[in-house]
Amino acid sequence: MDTASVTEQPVLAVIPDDGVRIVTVGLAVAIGVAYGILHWLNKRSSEESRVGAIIRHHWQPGAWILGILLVTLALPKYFTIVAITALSLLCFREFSRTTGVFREKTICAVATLGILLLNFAAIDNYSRLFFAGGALTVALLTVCTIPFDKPKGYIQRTALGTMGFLLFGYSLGYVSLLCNTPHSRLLILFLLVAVTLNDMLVFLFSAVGPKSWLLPHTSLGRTRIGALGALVVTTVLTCFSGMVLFDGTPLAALVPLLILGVGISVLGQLGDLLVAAIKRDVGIPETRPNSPNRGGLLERFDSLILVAPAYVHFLSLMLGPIGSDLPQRVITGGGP
Amino acid sequence: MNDWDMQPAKDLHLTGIERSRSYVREAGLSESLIRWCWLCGLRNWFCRWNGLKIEGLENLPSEPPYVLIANHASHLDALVMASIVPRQHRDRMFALAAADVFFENPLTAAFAASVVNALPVWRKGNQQVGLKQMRERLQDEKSIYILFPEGARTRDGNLLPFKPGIGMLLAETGTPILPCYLNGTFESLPAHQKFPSRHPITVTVGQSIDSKQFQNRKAGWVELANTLKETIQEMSGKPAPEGLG
Repeated sequence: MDTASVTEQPVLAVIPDDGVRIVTVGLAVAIGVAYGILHWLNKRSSEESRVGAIIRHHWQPGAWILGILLVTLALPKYFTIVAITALSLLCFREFSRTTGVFREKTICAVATLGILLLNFAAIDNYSRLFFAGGALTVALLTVCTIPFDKPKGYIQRTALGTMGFLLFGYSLGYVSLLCNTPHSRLLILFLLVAVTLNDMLVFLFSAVGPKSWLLPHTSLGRTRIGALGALVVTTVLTCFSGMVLFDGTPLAALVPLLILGVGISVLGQLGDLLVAAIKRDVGIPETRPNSPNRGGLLERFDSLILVAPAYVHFLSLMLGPIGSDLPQRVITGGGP
Repeated sequence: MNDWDMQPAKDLHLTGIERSRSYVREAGLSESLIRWCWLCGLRNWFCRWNGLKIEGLENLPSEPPYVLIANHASHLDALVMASIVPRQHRDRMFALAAADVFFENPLTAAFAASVVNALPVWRKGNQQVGLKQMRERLQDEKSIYILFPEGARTRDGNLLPFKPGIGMLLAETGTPILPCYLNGTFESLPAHQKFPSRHPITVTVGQSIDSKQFQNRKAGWVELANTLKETIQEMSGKPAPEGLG
């Protein structure tokens, strides 16, 4: 890629709007169709069926915040970043309550401040602060409880605090960082739609295909066919949509789009399995059809946590640095 | 390295309103912050508006668990009592509040649970389960309870009979019980008044009573309730009205 051309004319600025709209609307329709099929299967089966439990467990919780997030995409970028911040904080809260680290108030306070710092950096379009903020917060997490002179449980609380911050603060913070591009709304929409579609396809293929479980001790909802089917369909859809979306950019080629599609599908499924593994480890069963606890935000956004950083870095690698073509340090000043 | 001992929140499986009403509710960072600000503000308000005075603060044990028992004359009582608890122990402090008043409505329940850190006491129906859970929590988590054993606010400023439920909760636990006398809250916000008026408030914290000396059966429960009532009556400096309790 010619670096000079990026400096003179940022590649992200030449993404065609019409193509992006067509792709995102098409993917949204695909999600609607998949959701409809899942509901149809749910109605045909008994109340306690696995399909019904999966829908209640994975799709009802957190649907409202996804709706809010989508609405904010129509507003100035600050609203989207605020929504992402709220999502990060709520996800971290749920993670900390699930793992028990919520009882360590100092750890939670540092992680919360770190999340706020990263999103402030995104609002400010100050990417160096964003990346430094991640490292500094982790450093602070490792030392913040030392002055209390309670070495018992140090590794546990520090590890859990760091893990929670990196997964739900740093990773989701990349979506905020993505707001600093000329086509941020459509790129974020594409990300959300692709991840959601991939997630739904896993359960759709798992529901209709043979019941050969992928990782039965971690997640009972997904089969090998489900994982493979989602991988193939998501990759194909990403390639087709990417050709339209990124037309005229170095990304509009088969190999980069294959990498993007496989990356979204594999990392999305790994994110889902990651949260499932956390919950199994602390003894929370996967689905409780009759229980009020039908999952939560983590179930709804777990697929996003590994995809977001990879997606942003891949776009940045192929299309030029994120945020470089918009005013930087708009709050703190001082130039780039 | 120590064994992994972190456990999920005990109220993880509960919905919002269930969590507010739960005896196993656990606070996170946001609730602790809200409560810290609320209690600092309250203490400041009572000191400035009501000239709050605290006597016998040295009687408070340095570490929980302990139970603060007081006369009940006003809705201000729980707030005043909460504001005298040392800051470092506020997360472990629970005010026991009438469930039919504070926990029926989801909004008031959320406020009572998140801000006041109240636990519900159901005055109708079977109280055994709730009392058992509160008893366990007091001992297991080294909590601080604020209790009003009269079960209702006085309408004339005199002490009402103490309910033996206090004995069911505390007898034989070994938890120190601190009888307190609240003076001035009845004048500041009596039951018939909607907004507090400016009147000096004094809290007197009495000597600790050992709950272990009372047997965990009906006679012991009644004895504990009577002992506490007599102690607080003495602290008030008023003679007990004849023919009552």
